[in-house]
Amino acid sequence: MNDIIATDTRSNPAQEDLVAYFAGAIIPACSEQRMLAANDPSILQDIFNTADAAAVNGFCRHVEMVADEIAGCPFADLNEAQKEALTRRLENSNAANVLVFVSIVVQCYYRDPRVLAALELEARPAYPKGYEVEKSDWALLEPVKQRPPFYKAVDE
Amino acid sequence: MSQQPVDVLIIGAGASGAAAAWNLVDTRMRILCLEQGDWMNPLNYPSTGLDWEARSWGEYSVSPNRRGLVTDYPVNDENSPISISNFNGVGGGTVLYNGHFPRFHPSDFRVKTLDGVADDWPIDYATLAPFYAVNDRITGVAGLAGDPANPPHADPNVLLPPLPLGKSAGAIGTGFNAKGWHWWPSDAAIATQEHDGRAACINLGACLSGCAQGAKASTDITYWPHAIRRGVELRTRCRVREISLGDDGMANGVWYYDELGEEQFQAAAVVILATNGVGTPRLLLNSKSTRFPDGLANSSGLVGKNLMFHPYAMIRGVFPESLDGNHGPGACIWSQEFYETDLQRGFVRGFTYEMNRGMGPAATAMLGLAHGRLPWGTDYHKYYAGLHQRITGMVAICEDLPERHNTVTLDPNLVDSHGIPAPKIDYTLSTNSRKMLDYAVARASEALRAGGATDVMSEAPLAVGGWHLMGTARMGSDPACSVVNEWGRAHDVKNLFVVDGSIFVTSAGVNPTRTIQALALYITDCMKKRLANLFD
Repeated sequence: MNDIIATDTRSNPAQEDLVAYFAGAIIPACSEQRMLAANDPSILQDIFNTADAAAVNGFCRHVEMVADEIAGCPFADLNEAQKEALTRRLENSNAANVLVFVSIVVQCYYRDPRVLAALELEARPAYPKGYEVEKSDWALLEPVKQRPPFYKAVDE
Repeated sequence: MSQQPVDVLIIGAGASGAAAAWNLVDTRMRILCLEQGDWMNPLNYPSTGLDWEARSWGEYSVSPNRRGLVTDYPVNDENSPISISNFNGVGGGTVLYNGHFPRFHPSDFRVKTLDGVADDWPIDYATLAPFYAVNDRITGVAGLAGDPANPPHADPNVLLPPLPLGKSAGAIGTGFNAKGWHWWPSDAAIATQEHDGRAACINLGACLSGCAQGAKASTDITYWPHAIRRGVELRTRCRVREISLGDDGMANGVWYYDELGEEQFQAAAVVILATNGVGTPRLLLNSKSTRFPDGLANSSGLVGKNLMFHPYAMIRGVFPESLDGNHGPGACIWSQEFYETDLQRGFVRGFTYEMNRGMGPAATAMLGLAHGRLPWGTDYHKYYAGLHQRITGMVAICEDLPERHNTVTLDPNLVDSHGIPAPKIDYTLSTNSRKMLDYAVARASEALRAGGATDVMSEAPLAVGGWHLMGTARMGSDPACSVVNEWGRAHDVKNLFVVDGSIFVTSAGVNPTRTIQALALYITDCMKKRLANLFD
């Protein structure tokens, strides 16, 4: 017995494969810049935890619809060239289902501590330590200080 | 929970309701505020976690439709290019605002006289000036005296040190200097040093989703602690459905749903609406009676008409060097070079540039993806590196003019969780606003490139930019042309007052919160001076 009940499972294996494929297609790994792919197992799990069933279902439905338009078959049966063509279609799409999915992938990717570290960002919350901001060069303001008042005066 | 009659009932605990409650407390009247949302716990704000960007787009989104919290009401804004932003809780919109805190200019009260459009206000800048000063003292305003684009501060000694320029404002200031254009450190409702028990800003960078440090002046931590300490009662999770009218034509209380969803009646001698430019017309329109079949205080037919936003243009530049990223308050500097009418520009009135610092990594990626600067796949990281911490820019806050066809009405189908009709927004961007937005994008792009930007991205109007909700219960001397008089009292109902952005006659080209609060203080001051004959 495990602690998963039917309503906890928000996606089926085919949907999970599809989500993993596109997360990696949007943000692949880059060894040169030491960047992970968005279908890294931990990030992928975060994506599944974050996306509600409607988001996953909506995106998967949209992908299957485009796959049908391109090749008249399900996504799983596309060849590599067809998958690439489908990916480009999605990249240029303004469909709400696609935009929501991309947003979830991006959110989850950029909160992974390993990603933040690779970007040379401190992997910590802003609060309570806060941040430093470079000191101000107030000399920049001197030309503006030389201007006389120019707001419009009104007889009151 | 007492249901005893109160002297003053305030609906809404946001920017204006808080100021009104605080200012009335010395009358020793029994004052009650009903707020549909909750108290905020700053330790829950997104900046306390690594997932701050995701949470700022979700449960702390400025859009009530996206948040969808039980304390929110839905808004049908499908027939508007600009969607509604608000927050329902103690502090209201100030919980999620940026703290950018400009004043109106004297000319903003005389638009008809100066430019032949819209209407003049029945009050002027001098009337509000002392109330701006009081509000500044309570709020804690960072800024720098001597801005040539603005009248002097009534009391510059109360200003806190200005916000840091950082690399971002330095780059933008360099660009504006190259063009010979005005810029200045923004007045900001952010404590740059300890103020009234609040800690100083530590550059968390997530002002728009609540300030965990308590440096940003949301009214839950400014006015309310003082008002409550002095006896005002504030009830949360109380959603008002309608204002009740007595046989004498006076408001006699409100019907509301309490935290358990139970219907309650609260009797009151005076009712003050402080529920913003959408919430106020919604409540008035939902308060129908034999005497007011088209909504309470609506003999003019103007309740819900003349809705004004500030159409926003967002302009961001990509710079070759690393800037501030998301560190530091979003507010930093402003420019009012293009504030007044110059007909050679092709439009009347003008706008303020509010410079915003940078953004977090997820927002950077979303901006790049949305603007075609970030391809999916192999080159993703290469192009992302060119954007990471290298973006800064500004928004243009464009003056919107009142037009009767821009409206808030009651949606015939959509309701909130208590079955109260939701507001429906019908709004069209005017030709004047379109020209102003285009002009603002063009000039900002020039300034950013002059400051070193190698690429510029823009969006105008900013679809999510319906932060400022004004004009739907306008102020005026003539009952045929306005809903409230020159001191905020409904022409039709002599114990009903409105203190929020609904009463704006025109919108000016600046963020409205400072003026909304000054108006709330002014109106409640007028009430105090007239207590003996308030209903005459």
